[in-house]
Amino acid sequence: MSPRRDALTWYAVAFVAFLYGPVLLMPLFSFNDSNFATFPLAGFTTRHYAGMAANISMMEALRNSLTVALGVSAAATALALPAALALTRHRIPGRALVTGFMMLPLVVPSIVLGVALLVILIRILGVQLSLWTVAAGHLVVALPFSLAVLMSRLEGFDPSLEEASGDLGAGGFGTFRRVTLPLALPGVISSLLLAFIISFDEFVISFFLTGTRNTLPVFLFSQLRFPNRLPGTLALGSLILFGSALLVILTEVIRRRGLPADRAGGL
Amino acid sequence: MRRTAGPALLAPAFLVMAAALAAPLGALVLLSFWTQTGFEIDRTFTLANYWRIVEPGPPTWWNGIPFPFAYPVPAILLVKSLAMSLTATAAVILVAWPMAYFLAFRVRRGKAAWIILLTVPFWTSYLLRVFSWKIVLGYNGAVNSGLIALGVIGEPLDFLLYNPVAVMITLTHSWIAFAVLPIYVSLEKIDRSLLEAAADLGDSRWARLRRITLPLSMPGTVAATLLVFIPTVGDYVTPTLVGGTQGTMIGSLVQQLFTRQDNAPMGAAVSIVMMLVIAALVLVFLRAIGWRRMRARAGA
Amino acid sequence: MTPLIEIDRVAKRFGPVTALEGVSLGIAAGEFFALLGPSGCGKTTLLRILAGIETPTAGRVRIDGQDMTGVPPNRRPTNMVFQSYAIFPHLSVAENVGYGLRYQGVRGAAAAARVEEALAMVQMRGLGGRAAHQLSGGQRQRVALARALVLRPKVLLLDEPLSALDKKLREEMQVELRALQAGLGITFVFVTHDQDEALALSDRIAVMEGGRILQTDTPEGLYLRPSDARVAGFFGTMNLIPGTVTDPGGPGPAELDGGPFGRLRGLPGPGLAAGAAAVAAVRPERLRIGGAPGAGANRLAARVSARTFLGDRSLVHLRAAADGRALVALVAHAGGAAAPPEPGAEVTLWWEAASGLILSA
Repeated sequence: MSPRRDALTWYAVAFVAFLYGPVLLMPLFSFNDSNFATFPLAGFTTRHYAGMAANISMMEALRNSLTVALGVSAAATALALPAALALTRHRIPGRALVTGFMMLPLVVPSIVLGVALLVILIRILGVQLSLWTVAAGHLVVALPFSLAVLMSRLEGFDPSLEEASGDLGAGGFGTFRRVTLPLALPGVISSLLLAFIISFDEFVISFFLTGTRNTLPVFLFSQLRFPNRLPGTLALGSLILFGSALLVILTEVIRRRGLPADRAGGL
Repeated sequence: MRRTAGPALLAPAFLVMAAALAAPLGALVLLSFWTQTGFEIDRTFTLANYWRIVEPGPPTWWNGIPFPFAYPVPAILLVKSLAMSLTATAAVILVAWPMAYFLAFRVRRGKAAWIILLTVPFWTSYLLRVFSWKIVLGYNGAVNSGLIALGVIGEPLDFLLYNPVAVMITLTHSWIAFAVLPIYVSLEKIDRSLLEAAADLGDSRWARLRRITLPLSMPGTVAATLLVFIPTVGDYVTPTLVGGTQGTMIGSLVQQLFTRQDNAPMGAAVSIVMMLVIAALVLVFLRAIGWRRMRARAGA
Repeated sequence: MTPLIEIDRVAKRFGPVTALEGVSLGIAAGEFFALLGPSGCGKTTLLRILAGIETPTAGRVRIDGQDMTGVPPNRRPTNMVFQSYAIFPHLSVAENVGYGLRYQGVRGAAAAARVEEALAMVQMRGLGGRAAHQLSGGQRQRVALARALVLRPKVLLLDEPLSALDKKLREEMQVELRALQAGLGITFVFVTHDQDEALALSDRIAVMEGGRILQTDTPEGLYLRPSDARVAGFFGTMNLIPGTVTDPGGPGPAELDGGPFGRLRGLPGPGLAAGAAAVAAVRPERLRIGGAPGAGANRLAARVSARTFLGDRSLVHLRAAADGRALVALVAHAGGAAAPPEPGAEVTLWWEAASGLILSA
């Protein structure tokens, strides 16, 4: 069957247009020389971007978000890699149950996770809210994704490669360093990137767990209420969209490398 | 391999999840059995919060449905959220299915590029994607200003934003790309010779779609349905940004109970009731469609 | 002389599943030894126990007099060629072959020389720079062989080494493997489900089924003197007629009451007892059609159902008159012998007592 320009193809084009259309209005209006996001366009300007660097609270929120996201990304991957090894390579009693529990954050609404963490931190442990509490919340939502990416990578290669390494004389650590880690590397990198993106974009949990120092999405949310700050918000939003999109593309390209085509669709 | 190695490798992640997921959810359950008295929390065990959610009272009418509760807000919002979420989920599946079909059966080269194209929006700021609908549908938004500029309307239409329909459109938009993937995977798994065999036995294109493709895609379609339905019921961002007062959902109530209304135990009880209702609906749904048999049949 | 490999009552259970139940076996130094059986018979488990990848639930393995209990794979004098070949995809051919040398303290130029030597041994001289994904199936197998042999193991273990190759390549590699083993004098233990492969390659074969060894013998021994009906059916075609032992024989032939077939005689297999269930077994090439049967020959009436011309021979399919059982005879055409009978013909089949066997069922 050769590709046909039929109704289905047009449907796919319309689908992509619907998917991207609303989001792309943000960068469009961010370059519009007007304080309102309205048609007709008034002319090209970069002035909405120029003011951003001088916005101290925005820059601080950006710094906070980057700090948290880097920490979460490293922690989620560091925890998920040994766990993925255990779940794919070792005999674990109640493996299905354990895996199900680790994947639970995927089905619990983030608002419930947010308030649950809030309850235990404030009412039971009496901890002050800070970037640490935000990071803990992000870790919970990022870990299942890191685990899923790494498990699918580890399941994707022949377990006899590791047996062969042992048979040829390597000990447990030697096999990990010379065979398992190099082969899992694309998975490790995409786990790092994915966890970073999840943390960097996460809003609801941060909204509940943030202390005096905002993350960027929380800052952004507070700006959305003020119509007069719309152009600056649009500029910031456009940059976030652009940055996240780049990271996602990078993650996906790395993750798909070496995966057989029929598995490329899943997590 | 040593018998202890597996558990030892798993332990750190497991303990973190136990501390940061199981313990907080446990605490939430515990809190739901306590009560708020003024600024204090009364730690005596009681079912009062749950009773309050179902306590009978004079009926409150919502969309022609009577809610005979003394405190009808949680019940109404829960029903409303489920209805909105189900509508959005149905829309998502209807919109995503043909796209997944296109991806599985029509795209030959550059499949990975298509998948990335669909994946990117899902991973980029949910907040911003929802906010973009405010720009589209707002009183001073793109649609209104565009139509005015074209001379179609004279005054901005004020019914576009801040209502349940806006929430459902936005939810649909947020989740369609995500739903494509599981459906695509189950379509991709279908042995192409099955379709050739069906054609050989006399099935037309539509008959093949109905008798082969659709049934065998069910595992992915059902998975997509759940992946969309479960998180959207408790969504907070979308109703807050585009729902206005008419479009609130149960997530907004939970947030308010924990903050402005300062009744965390009630908020905990509402969260738990919401999760139990979702879980019960999911189980009933899976039982009704014969999920186990379906998965076994499709070799998933 | 004690065997190089002593397998002593080795058992393996995976949860409720028993993969091996009390297998004992000795394999001599320099032998080319096959573990043969259908999938799930425990042959691969036994090989993996020798490699140290699996731990036996009971029993022990000694290699060269050393007890291997608790010795991990990386400390054993064995190396393995995996069924999938397990070529490290992120390493070049030379890096694959040289993978284990550092654990023997061989590094640098010495290691490079050993790698080149091993590659030459498997006809891959000069291909060390190739990436793993550039290799053909046959080349992958050669790399897997070189990677194991470069470590000069006492025992080379091969898990279905030829099953991933196409027929022509498989036959070439059989010859090559045999020559390699003869040249190196290393003990080869290989697992296969393919009788022809086992017969072609091995000095001795252990036939396994259901976690047990049915018989261990040379290829000739297994073909000519199978110990029971299952082994007999495993190698080539065997006509089997069930019955009850009436005389277990001794030095002389044994006798079986075949019911409608009457009394049948043949050389006694092991473990026969009067009154026990048994089978009379005879190879297709030992069956005669028509002619003049000798005095003590077994005979039975049958009808020809089909004929397959094979060039110098014909395969004759028959149905026994007694119970409609399918039988096969192989008739040579050489020397102007009479053409085999047409389908539908009623014939007398016969065979000498010394050409048949009486085997416990």
